[in-house]
Amino acid sequence: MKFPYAVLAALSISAMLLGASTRALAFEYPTVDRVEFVEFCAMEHPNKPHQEMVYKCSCLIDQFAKQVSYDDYVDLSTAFKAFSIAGEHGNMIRDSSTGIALNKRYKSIMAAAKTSCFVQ
Amino acid sequence: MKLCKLTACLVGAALIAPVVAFADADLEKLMSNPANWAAQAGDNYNQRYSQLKQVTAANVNKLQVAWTFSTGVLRGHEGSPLVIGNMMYIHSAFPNNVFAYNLDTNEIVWKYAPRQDAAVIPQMCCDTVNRGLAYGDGKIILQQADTNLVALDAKTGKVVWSVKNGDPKLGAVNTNAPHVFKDKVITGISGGEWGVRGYIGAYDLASGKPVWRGYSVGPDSEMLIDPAKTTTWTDGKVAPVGADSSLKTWKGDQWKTGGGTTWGWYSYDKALNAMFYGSGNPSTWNPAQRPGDNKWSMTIWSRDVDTGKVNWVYQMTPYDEWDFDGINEMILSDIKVKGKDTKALTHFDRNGFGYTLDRTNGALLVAEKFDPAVNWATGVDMKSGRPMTVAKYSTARNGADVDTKGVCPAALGSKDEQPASFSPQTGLFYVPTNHVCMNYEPFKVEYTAGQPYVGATLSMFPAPKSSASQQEGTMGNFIAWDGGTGKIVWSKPEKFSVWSGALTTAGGVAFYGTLEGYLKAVNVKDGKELWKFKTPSGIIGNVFTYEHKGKQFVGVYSGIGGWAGIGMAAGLEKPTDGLGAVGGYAELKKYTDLGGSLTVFALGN
Repeated sequence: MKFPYAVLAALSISAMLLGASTRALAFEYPTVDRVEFVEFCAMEHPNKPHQEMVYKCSCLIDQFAKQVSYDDYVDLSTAFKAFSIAGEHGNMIRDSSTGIALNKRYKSIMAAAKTSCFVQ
Repeated sequence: MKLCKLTACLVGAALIAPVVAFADADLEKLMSNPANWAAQAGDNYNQRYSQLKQVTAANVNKLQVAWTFSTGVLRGHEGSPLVIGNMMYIHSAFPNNVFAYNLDTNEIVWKYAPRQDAAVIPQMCCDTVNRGLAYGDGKIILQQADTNLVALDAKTGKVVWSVKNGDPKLGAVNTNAPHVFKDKVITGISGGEWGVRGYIGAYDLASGKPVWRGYSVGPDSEMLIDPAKTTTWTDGKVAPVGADSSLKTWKGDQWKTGGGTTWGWYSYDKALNAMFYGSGNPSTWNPAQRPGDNKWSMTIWSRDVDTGKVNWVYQMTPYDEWDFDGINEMILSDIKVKGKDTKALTHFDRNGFGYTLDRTNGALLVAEKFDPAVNWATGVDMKSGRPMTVAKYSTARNGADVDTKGVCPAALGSKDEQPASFSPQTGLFYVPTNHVCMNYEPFKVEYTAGQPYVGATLSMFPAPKSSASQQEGTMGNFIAWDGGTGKIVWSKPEKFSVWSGALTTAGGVAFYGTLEGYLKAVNVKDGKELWKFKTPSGIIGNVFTYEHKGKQFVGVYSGIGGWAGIGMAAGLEKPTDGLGAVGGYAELKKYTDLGGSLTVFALGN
């Protein structure tokens, strides 16, 4: 079967473009944050094969990177983590409208990401 | 009560005179060398300023991680390590482990792991933090959560003496750093949410023997107030407080559970032989249950270091209706106030006002809002020294079971305990702040010994925009403040409240940490961000600096205990649990690598 060159060229260009834009999104997040995320995430699933969790946790952080900028991710994850701070400091995030909204957004992105990355 | 080991007592008693003079001079010498960080604030004035200038506004963006240290303990890490010569002394949140770390060999020389009853944990209102160690006379002083004040031999880590400072069964616990002033260890007490009657105590540095204790509320003799000699600002002048100045402002015996705890940072002026600190909120948070000014809660204090006698007092928030706990640090500086050279004391209170007083006599000189959002008072009447409160934000006037809406600031204040810094280079104060308001609903509570005694429900939200550069919904600012005029010089908005202590340096840089975990460096002149680095957890510790083998290092603890999965494992079943909701450390071993960590930076070669 002969494949028209034009189609092939168009396909490869769009693939390159797609690749480039995905890469740009994913790599806007500093390496250190991605490594930390994957490490901690794998640690939260100690009964699963480590390599499996490296794949799945990488998938999770990539899902975030597709949807929110790095600075927004920092805000969302800060509010989410702050929900477990004991005492009045924690209350300031837990009980504030800003904290509640950010936490809700983090949870909804995470829930969708878990489904698409096969993380239970 | 176990005061000290017999041998230590005897040695202390025999050598007391020469040891005292030596200890004082020794610590002073250590503090004057900027290579050390020999006290929590670096000095006795609480300035948190370093003469080191290898790191400058021009090269701070070249800072990189030099080394890290994990304390292995979860939960919030406040305060900072100490550096003395080639040794660093590192502390952790409960159970308050201490590590002596040799900077030459990068080895732990000794570790002290106190055995404390875990029953103390639920008695701590606001996480199991510890604000750090003190050094003096060859000893490292640790104020444990269970109120044991312990002196460790700085070389070996062996206990030299140990003394109990309060009764945790009644809710008296400790989170504050002890301070070494002269030949004494000064410490306070927490538990205002448990109805503890606050006090400040002095112990002999050599032996641990109690020397004096001064209460915040109650009879004159127990506060160490002399009605004729102790003064306060009233009617536009400094005047004696008169007899029963506290008792007269409480109904019946309520002062006995009256609060006024003392868990902040203290400062010391050698020339005046005086120490300065703040007392906290009156108990309960429900004002209807404690009519009166509730003196001397919410007060700035000056005491004689040798005797504890009160030189002067100034009450910032009489009859507190919002939990504007007055314990924040007192920063001493010699600055021009309204054009006049002044031995000043500057204080950024939770209530949102920045105060400057004459520290020699307690005269009120400046009281201005350091966040424009503050609305519970229109200002401070400079004649009476009292806040001019706004009726609609009065939780007492609105009464119990009524939700008073839109009070700014929230109970955590425009600034919490996280200490500000003063730069003698610019003459300005650099202040980490909150920018949050609240709805406040008091309710009636009965006092039960050893139980929380709070009596209010709160909800919080970001304050309205206070500057053009600030986005709607941001919850903090890092500001530069002129203490001589009471004006904000610049203000840098932060998405979340700033809960880390600030540091300024002769290199023209101000450092602070954020809840996101960033350590940030800004230009002292205009607040322009010069550099940031994301540490593994949110920062509520204080930034410090030291020099080792000719290189300047900048360090900070990170660790807020805020990793959600762990929060659940730690027994925080319901994320909405607030007061006292910490526990279950046994299950956490597998997560300890995620605990508090110290990150230390230096310029790359």
